[in-house]
Amino acid sequence: MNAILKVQNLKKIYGRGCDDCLGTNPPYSKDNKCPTCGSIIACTDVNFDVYPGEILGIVGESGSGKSTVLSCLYFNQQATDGKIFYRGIEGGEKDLFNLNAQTRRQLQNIHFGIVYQNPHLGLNFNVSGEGNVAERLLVAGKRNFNTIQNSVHSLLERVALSPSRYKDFPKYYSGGMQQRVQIAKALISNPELILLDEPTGGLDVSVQAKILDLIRSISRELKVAMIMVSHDMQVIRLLCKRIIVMKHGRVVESGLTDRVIDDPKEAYTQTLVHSTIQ
Amino acid sequence: MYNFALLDENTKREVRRALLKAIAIPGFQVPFASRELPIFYGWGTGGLQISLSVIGKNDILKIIDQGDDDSVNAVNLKRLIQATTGVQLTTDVFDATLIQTRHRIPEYSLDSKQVFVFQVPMPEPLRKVEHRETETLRMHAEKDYGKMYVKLYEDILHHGEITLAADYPVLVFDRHLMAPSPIPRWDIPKLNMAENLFLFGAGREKKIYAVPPYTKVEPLSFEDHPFSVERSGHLACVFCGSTSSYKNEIPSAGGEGQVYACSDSFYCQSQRS
Repeated sequence: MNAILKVQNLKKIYGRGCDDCLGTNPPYSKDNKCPTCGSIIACTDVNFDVYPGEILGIVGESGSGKSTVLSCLYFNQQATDGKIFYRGIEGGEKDLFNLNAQTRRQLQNIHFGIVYQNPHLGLNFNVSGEGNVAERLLVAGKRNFNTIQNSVHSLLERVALSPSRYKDFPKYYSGGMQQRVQIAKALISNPELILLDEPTGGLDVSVQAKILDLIRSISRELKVAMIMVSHDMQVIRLLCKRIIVMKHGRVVESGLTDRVIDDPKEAYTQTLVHSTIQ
Repeated sequence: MYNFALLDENTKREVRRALLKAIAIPGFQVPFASRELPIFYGWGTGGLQISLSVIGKNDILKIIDQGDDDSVNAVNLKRLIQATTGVQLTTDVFDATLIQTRHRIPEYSLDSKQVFVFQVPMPEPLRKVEHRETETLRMHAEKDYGKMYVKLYEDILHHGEITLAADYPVLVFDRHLMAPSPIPRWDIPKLNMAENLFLFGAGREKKIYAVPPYTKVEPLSFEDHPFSVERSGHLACVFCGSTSSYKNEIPSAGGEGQVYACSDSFYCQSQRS
């Protein structure tokens, strides 16, 4: 099976960088800092493929670079180095970091979707919930109000938002509703890949369970591939077949979720697995 | 005492350069070094600088303010330009070679020998939906006008129709989103494929832009919610009886209720005679 997305040697450095940390295999000094110049190595030498319909998990403690990887993939930040290839652009031959801004925006608006932990990043709070979802269709060039509204409504129904709340502003929504609208917004353009940045962080357990259920059923029915970033091993175990474990900006372990969780090879992964409340 | 047309030659040259660039890229806002003038920002300094830069001794000048030749602002601008250039003034839209306006386009259509100058308070059409200049620049560069359409979508959602009245956003030459200055919707169709040149000047915001002759100018709309002009245009004028001109609502002579009168004073007079 062909990968949808290939990520090769992704690197993001905050700071000026030096010959050491900008090269491959930057020196490692037990944290994110380059021992030579002191720049922050947010992530380096990150490699992975994403296959159609799968949910790939990225785990690690806060500051390990998982969110940086996602925001580089969504072009919210410019990666310092590395290549990404996407099946939908020139048959996966073209490095997405070399795309012009307009095509890149097309990727963001049509081919990819994103759900942030903080709904303020993903939703415009001065526009109705319905308008937020419609935005991606409008950006994609749809110009028929009724057609747009119908598809928005059917998707909001799919994510179980009460029809009486469609016209309300997201600031009047509960946290769980905001995440549902974000998920609908990500899905509306029929993307091939959805990036989930701790979508259930900060939600209470029952709401969290509903959102996770929703994500899983969407993944099964629509066969859309997802990358899920989380620090919660339970969530990852529930949803992801394959995971990547990150620490201090580096990938320390990767493999099938069951294998990694039941038989962690790296000391760090063992700590991570065992620190979960059973 | 003054240089011809008040402004010094270098200033006029700079404005003309901005104008050339603006005409070359229809609807694109060209920054220019807006000068201090003997009138305040907000009273037509952008339009005035363009008029002073393009005017020649043989031009015949008409200035209107909300369609009216005789309003204070129009009269004062006319006096200033005439005092510094000695050009002939007119109220006749057919005689004029250079027309400066605030918030209206005349009812009679213009021809290829006429230059039409707008006074623009707010040149950025996207400012309604995005307050950061860096972001609006990017949006124009990438033709990323989704946010503007979201505004229209929200209007229809909450009010059943698009509520933008004046300064209705238009797409010029299928490329740049443009603020047509606060002209009523009634005047928007006159911008499309017009024979004459339209120049827009925003003095406070220091921007110049243009719509060259025979350029496609399209108001944003949805397929099932097409653009429409004000309904009041089809009411009869109390003075001339015209049912096809943009109207002002004014109190009736008896003081009870309202009547409607043409906003374009020259048009109204010519209909009466």
